[in-house]
Amino acid sequence: MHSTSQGASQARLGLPNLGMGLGLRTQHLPAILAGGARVDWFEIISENFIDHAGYSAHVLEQLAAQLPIVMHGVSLSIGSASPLNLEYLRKLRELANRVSAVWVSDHICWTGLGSHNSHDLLPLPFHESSLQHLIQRVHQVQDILQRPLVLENPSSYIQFADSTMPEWEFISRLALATGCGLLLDVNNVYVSAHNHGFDAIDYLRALPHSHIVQLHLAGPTRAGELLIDTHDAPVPTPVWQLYALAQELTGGVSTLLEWDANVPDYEDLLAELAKASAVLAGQLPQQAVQQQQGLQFAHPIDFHLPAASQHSHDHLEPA
Amino acid sequence: MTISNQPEPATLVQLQQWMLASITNPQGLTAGLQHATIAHGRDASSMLAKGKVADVQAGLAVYANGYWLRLLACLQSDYPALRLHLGEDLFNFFCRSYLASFPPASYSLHDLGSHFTRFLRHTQRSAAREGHSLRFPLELALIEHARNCAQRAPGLEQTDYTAPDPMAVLLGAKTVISLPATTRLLLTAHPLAAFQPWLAAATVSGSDRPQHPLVSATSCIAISRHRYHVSWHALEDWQFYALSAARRQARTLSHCAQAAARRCHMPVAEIHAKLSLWLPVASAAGLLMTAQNTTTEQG
Repeated sequence: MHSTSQGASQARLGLPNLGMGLGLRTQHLPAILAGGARVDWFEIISENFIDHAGYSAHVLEQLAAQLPIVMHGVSLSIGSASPLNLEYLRKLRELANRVSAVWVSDHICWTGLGSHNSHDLLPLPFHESSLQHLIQRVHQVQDILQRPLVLENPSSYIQFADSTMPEWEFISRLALATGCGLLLDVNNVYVSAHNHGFDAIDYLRALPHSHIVQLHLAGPTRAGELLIDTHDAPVPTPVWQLYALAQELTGGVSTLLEWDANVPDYEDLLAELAKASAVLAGQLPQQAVQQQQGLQFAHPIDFHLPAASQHSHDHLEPA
Repeated sequence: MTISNQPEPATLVQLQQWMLASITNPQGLTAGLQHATIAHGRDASSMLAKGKVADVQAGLAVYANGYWLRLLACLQSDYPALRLHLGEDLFNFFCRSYLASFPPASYSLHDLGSHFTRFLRHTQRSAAREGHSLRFPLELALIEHARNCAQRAPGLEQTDYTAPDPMAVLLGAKTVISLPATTRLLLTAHPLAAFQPWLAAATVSGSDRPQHPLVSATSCIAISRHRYHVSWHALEDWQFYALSAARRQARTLSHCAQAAARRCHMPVAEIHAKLSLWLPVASAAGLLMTAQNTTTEQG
């Protein structure tokens, strides 16, 4: 273990514990505007608001004046062998300034190579060469953004034969070498631990806790022998257990519930988020892991404004 | 397929080339793995560690299936009326063909469908002819793409734009017309009213398919945004060509009137008068911006 909760307030890279937050989804905007946010903060998908000057961006600016906003990206591709996209980084910095983002996060992964972007969070080999590659690029990104980058552990379904160290060692060394923050997705730890046969608790205990600034919660799906990170179900009990441990190890950091497919009403989402407070009070929700057949899943990236809610604002006019 | 002489450990770029080739092949994962093995001299057993709970093909299948499902879902979100018109199978067929020709290149999925209408027109050239049954859905796709652009483009909402003074326009004050990025102009072979049921039905899950339009007529359509509200407008041809004249750069009212008069074979003075009267209406709908000064326009 690299640190304890004792130094938590000084650590966290100067970033605050924002409390309980939700991923901002466009289908919830009417409920939020009508009834208020009723959360401590929102996380946005950065790419949904870059190059966006429409209604959602307008509402975001209104919300940013009232609540902390954290930016969570899916296209940084920090692990790609291709050069960083400097235009993307410039726009990321602009958006961060526009919404006064408390921090900017992305994933420890690669999303594409050359001109081909898979729009998925693809896994990296964990070895010395890839680690040095990431360290150099995290430094570069932090120099451009002029702020610490916060990076999330992704879930994965394969491991590379050339890997020479476990994921938690790779992430820990990356954080310690660069000073970057960590977004610990306890659901992703649970998913990958199941798929790759490691101990999720060992993983959590091995991380440098003073670098963890945020926790992600979500519900996975069991499909055959694999667990898949679908973000479309209630958080299951084993993930709540990891969440409780993570909060204990860190001394308390920001919590964010993700739900990106089969998205429930805002009220139901608030109810699911309220379980996190119950867990911190010692009450563990009893919830089984969702089960489905087959492997036909789109990894959850909140990619678009839903057609029905957005396009229904449009109307016909005579000249 | 097994590679007998295992090469040196893959570099990061080799590993990523291999994985992308495996999981993004339009023919599926099996074809992708075969292609990647041949192209990169490495097979799955040499690249991947043995799975603990499932074989490596099952793990790769999560990525391969997810790649196509995600991109299809994205295009479905961008073109719901086209999807409703074509039906699920034909729409997905076109999407997969498009994605095979134009793999996603941008950091934003909002850009994924930006070449889709061009791809459809290019690959369905004969369908673009008058009277062909695919002409209507091709135009529906154009309208949906224009709508998508209008929703996200910088509009007038965050500017300090003030509407033109109608009296000043009528009195001949020099008036310069420009179009905001949220205004899109389309010439179609079907009336706007033919598209409306499809656009409306696509916003409601499980809607019945509207009827295919029976009549065709060349139509001038504009899409605009006002207070973040996107609207379609059926324009008269002189309105369409006057706006078209200012599409790429700001033009004086006189220039726009002259351009429209040439295209519509109408007297310039008549167009000028009509345009002067219509400008405040068009401005209020977010179709155009004007700048005025007290100098009287010549001509």
